[in-house]
Amino acid sequence: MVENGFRIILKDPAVKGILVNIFGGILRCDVLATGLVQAARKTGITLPVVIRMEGTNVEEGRKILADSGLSLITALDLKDAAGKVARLVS
Amino acid sequence: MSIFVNSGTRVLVQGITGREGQFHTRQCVAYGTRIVAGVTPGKGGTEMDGIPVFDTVQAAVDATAADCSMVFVPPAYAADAIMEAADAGVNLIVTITEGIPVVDMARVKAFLARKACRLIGPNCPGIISPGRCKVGIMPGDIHLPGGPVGVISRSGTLTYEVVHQLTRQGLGQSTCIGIGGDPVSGTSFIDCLEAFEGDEETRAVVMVGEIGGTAEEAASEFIKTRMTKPVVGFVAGLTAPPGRRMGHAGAIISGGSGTAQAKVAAMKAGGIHVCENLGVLGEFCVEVFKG
Repeated sequence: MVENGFRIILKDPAVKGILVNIFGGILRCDVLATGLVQAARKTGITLPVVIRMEGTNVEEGRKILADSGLSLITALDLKDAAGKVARLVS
Repeated sequence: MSIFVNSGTRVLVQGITGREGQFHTRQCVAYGTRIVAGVTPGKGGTEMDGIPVFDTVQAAVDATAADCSMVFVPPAYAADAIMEAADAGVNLIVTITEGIPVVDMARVKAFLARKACRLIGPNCPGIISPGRCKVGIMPGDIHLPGGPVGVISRSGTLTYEVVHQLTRQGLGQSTCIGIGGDPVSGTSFIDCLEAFEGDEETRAVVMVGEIGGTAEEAASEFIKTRMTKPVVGFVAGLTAPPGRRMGHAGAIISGGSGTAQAKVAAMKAGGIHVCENLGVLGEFCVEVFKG
């Protein structure tokens, strides 16, 4: 699912970065993080990806991102995430 | 106090043996909710983590005196599950299921009109009174018990976002309700506003709307004429293109109506304090509510 999302977004040559903002309720952050890591690997994305993740199973999710070895950028909250991605693409 | 649920609420879970039903039942139990029964047709007589499972809602109510149901039943069977709960005398039916056909929900609405029960949802995160009772899929630990703020939202994620920011500002919540993103649903913004207006613990309300329908406009009119407590409003979808469905079945600008701009204008006309930047909503509430 995340991979398909990345592929659709990356079709647009104007895209310079991706912001993922998820506050997990029924969607668990560990499931999301696993999807993000797979999507980043399979698409070989080189654009900056800023991830803001909170909610259900967030600790497990953060660990998966940290252990992935990928250069995904994490953010503290919505404001921080928007600021980070804006700086990275400008 | 809280609205619609409290620490005495006795909850049964329809669809307790399914993947989401099991996971979120455990989360609710861990939060302190009194989950007294589960219902899965064909699995009556078994248990889930020591919670007795029944074949029918009636059997579960008879055995456990449950007065609230949380519904995780898949979309094709969910309407029937809601009507079964209403028929068994359950007072409050919280339906999490997304994707119930609109025509099924129209049938449910007509059926519930003859019953005394309240439906929250479908396609919603549920309801929580922090520290007392969680009936839904929201992450419990972001909430701060004790009021003074009541939260109402059509979106799950945005409810969590708002609650998280309120908590970080030290503003607790009395009750938080996700009313769901479907075009046909049970409890409305106005039902919640009316209850919050009458609830002593609630001294202010945050209302999160989104594009599509006219619920925000109706709520704004209600607030203008009937609410004495301050209300902060936010509307998602200021940049939404017309004709495209934005995540929720009910979130669509059709024929030029249901735009975020119109809803923001209606809110402002109703005396609602509209926050236009979600990233600073918590700080915005502190400013508005301290007065």
